[in-house]
Amino acid sequence: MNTVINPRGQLPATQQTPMASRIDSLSGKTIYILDVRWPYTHQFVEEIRNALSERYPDTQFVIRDKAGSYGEDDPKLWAVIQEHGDAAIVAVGH
Amino acid sequence: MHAKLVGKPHLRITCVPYPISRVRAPVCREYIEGADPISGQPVVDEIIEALTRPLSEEEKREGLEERPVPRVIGPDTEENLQRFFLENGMTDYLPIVLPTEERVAEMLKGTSHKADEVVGELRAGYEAGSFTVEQVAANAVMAGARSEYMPVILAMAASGVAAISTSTQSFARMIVVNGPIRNEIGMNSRCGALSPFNQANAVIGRVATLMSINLGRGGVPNLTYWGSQGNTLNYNHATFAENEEALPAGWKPFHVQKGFKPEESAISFFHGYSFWHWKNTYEKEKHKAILHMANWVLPSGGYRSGFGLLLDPIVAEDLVREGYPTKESLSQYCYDNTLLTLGEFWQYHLVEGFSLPAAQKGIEPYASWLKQPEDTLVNRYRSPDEISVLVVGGKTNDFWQAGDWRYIGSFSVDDWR
Repeated sequence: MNTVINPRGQLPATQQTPMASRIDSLSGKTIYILDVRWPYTHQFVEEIRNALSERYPDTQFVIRDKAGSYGEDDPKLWAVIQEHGDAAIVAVGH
Repeated sequence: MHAKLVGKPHLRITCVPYPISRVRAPVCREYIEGADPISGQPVVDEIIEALTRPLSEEEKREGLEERPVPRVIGPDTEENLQRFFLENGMTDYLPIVLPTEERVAEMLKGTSHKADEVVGELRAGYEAGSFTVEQVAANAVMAGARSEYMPVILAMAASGVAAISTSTQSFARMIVVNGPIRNEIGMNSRCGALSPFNQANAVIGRVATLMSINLGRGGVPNLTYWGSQGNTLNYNHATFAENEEALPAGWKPFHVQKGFKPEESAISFFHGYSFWHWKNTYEKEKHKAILHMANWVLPSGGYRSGFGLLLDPIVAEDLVREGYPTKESLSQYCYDNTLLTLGEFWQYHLVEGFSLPAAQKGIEPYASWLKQPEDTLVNRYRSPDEISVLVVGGKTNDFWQAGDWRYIGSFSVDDWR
């Protein structure tokens, strides 16, 4: 029988935070669609807006590019969305 | 996985087929109206539902989750422990030496540092795990290391540079050892230095991967590792010692170029994908052939690039005769003669993703470049320092290779003796 040293490092504790509250319907709302900026993804984001606009003609869908490349934070944009938006869709990936 | 680590384990996600980059509008629409390849549900419906379905109690929850890691595993039979390591993704799927308490204690004799000393943090997945000297030693035992390799292995661990990343791009590292430690532990810098013919070269690179898996919590495909094709260099990350003894007069060892003294020992990390070979060029003079290779690298932009040359000592001597009395003069020549137009620059995929956003944020020189004509010539590299010159090989032929190796940093080995 052997006892071995665990080769795995310690992991930090995780802090779970509540998710943002939901909206009852998209109708009449302002919904932000964020592109986190992978190369050449604008077409995809625009098609999300087009598909949703056909279903919700009275809803304002606002496309915004996050500042910087995909890994950078953009607190100014988050503040704008909090002030002016009812919800947000974040397009992540490539 | 990442959602859980940032405290949102129930983040509402929908997926579309890859890629979405450079995809035409009708195809994009097809993806959005079509089924999520994971759930099978229409993507657009999932988006709407994600925005409107009331939060569950679990989604509203907040709280701290501790994740302690026990110091030891077992006791159990060798067979069961081997299976445990394999089934829990704690190996590189080659045979390992079990890190028994006795073997780890023996490994720890290779350093003056205490077993419980915290070395640092390593992030190969989505979070940085912290670790002790003893946990580094356990990974060293698993790879088949000798105790005298410990200062090099600890220097790698303390660097904070993970050998494996989460990227979809299948990166690897190149690890170069300089200084007296090379000969003290019997590393190969000569014939076959990059092949599996030397214990120290083979094992040190292997430990880098095991540490990324176990200390850095990376290397799980589709969870913490997303490299689409993977990379065979991940088995040992092209680990070798520079052939300092064969450097032409005037050519400094790489670590000395980076500020270390010749009598000090250091490891240097490089980031890249692959090697390619000089034979793809037709030039008779070596410096001209090298330019062809240096021109095949992604231009350095918001995304930093790099070029690494691995020259046999014969090639280094020929380059001296061709007019390059130092490594730096060769780097400068490559830097000066690998220009491209801005029209070409902005076409590169990663330039669009990294340099264009930087330009739009006003970061120079990209902000100015955005306003200049497309036929303006700019340097492919941001500085000659992005072109690294290393000498390795056994003088059996005047061959060399190069790769898209971006220099990351050099780290003291002596601090971990």
